[in-house]
Amino acid sequence: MDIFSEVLALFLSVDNFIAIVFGVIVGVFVGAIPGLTATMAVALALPFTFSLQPVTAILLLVGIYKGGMYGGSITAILIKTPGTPAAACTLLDGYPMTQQGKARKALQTALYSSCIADFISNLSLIFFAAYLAKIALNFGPPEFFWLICFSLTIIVSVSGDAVIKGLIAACLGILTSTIGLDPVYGSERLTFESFDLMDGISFVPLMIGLFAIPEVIEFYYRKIEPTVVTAVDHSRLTWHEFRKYLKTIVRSSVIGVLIGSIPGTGATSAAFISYGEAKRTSPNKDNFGKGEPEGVAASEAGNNGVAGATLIPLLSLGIPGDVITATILGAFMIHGLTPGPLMFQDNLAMIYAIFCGIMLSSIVLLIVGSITIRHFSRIAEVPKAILLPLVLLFCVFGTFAVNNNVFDIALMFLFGLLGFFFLRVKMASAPFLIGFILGPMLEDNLRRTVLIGKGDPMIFFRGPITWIFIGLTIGSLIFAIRRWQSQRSGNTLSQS
Amino acid sequence: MPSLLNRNMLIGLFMALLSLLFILYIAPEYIEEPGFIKNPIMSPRWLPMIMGSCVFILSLTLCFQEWLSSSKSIDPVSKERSIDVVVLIAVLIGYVLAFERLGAVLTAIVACLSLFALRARRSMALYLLAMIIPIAVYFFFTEFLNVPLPRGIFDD
Repeated sequence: MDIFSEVLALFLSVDNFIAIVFGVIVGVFVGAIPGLTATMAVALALPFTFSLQPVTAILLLVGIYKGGMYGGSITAILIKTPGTPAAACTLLDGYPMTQQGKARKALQTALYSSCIADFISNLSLIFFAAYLAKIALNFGPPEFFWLICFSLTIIVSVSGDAVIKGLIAACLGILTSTIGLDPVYGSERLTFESFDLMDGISFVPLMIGLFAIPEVIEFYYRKIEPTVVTAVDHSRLTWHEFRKYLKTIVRSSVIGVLIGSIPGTGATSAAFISYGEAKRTSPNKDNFGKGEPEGVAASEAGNNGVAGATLIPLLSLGIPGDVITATILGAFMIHGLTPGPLMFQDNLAMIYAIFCGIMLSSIVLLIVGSITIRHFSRIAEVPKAILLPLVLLFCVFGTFAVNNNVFDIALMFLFGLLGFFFLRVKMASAPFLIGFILGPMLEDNLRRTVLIGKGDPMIFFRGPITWIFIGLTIGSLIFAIRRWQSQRSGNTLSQS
Repeated sequence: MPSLLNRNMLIGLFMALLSLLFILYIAPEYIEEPGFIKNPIMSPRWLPMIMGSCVFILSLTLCFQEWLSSSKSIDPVSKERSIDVVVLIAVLIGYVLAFERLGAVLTAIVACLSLFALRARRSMALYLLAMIIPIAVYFFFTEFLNVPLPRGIFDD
């Protein structure tokens, strides 16, 4: 009973409520600006937490994190510009929905999926933290290697009808990710003696360039009437429609939780894996990539399922899973707290007060999101002739903000031209992005496995987790090849 | 008689040539390899070479697939093209070259004005918007988000 009253005393404070609401609002807006990520927002807010109580400080950062994760989907859906890397998958179906005049429905699907995933993720954090952390600790380089191999199989799903072109794009993405200094030996790879390329290519210019800039170029490339306005259908997502996607949302949330609890994986991979799984199992699989709400739901549930779960290794083991949790770890330490098993003994009341706040943040996200959707969905009504120059402005400023370097702006435009080339030759851009994200992880874990195994190939098959992922990879490939074959035979029949 | 040259065939040939150039010249020339590596997987060149080879094989597969397929049609491409894209490319290059020299605000205003003038209905209100929004966004980034956007000619 003592602990219960202590938790209430710590949690029920006006400051905590203000911190959560303010954090979520800031997160949603910063996440919605192309180039500005939730990571950046959390890092910027850290100095403001010095004078706050520990619980209030952590809740402010968690609020920003969760708001940012959802906010990234807004611009991905409305203007094909993912606000955060994790939202890159959402645009595959979100933007086509906007083009069909269903922006509001897409935003609602994204919001409700995000909130449900967030809630499931929080419950996992509260009830299964110790168990999931134990599983996560069994992940070594060989397990990671096969997890990434499994993740790479989704390339076939997101390539649409042109699988070979999608695979070429993925290889080019992996190749692009190798630019910079070699992580083991420090030797230069494809830097062409440019100092700016030594650190490799930043993710933000590549992502914005690949998705947002081609839309701008395409608009000015085509001779069309300047007064074209997207027809906006103000219809809402009905309960009947939403109920159909619930299974996908729950499955994607679980995928997000599992991936989020493994340190070093991230929301972007979770979103793509969830999307791939949804596409494999959905009765509407042929509509994926053409404006399928289930695709938006899967992607958003996948990336938001990660939000609470990344706190599992942080709170239970003291291991930050990504940059955001590393910043939150910093906030804990600034306030004299060290996350890990001992924290559950010494500061149990504080942990539970934080859990209460995290649960509340899901509800706040739902309320803030519902209010903002009304206003954000109007962006789709702005004529493109006015909207696109402003999108370009945000892209330029946002890209510059990553490293304060004009070189990144040039890179963004170069990738924009590449994206435009992909658009014209009907080559999907998503496989390029997936290759770019997973390439370094693949190489790193492959090399580490070889080092650990001292040349023995059996290290790749060392335990049940590796076998599970090998099975999933093979199964996924067989499924994808069979689907591709049936699609091809269908196309041949329709042509004849 | 199957069609020999369609769009996919051209892409395949182009990518195959590009990947050959990469495998034979770019990778050996621009990826340094330490001399003491025993296991080829540990080499910095290993993954890029594998990916280059994959692109080469996939490109040839694409060509072969197109050659085998009886489809002679080239995807319909709109002939309705606009020279506005030239102005856009100039704006993109201008952003890169003038961003630090002229400053973020001035470059953004010029870019917005140029692009608005191309396609939007010309009105005084719109031109005002092209000036107000870059200034507002500039202050949001510099004051609220602490991003040191270049001030260019307004620098002290």
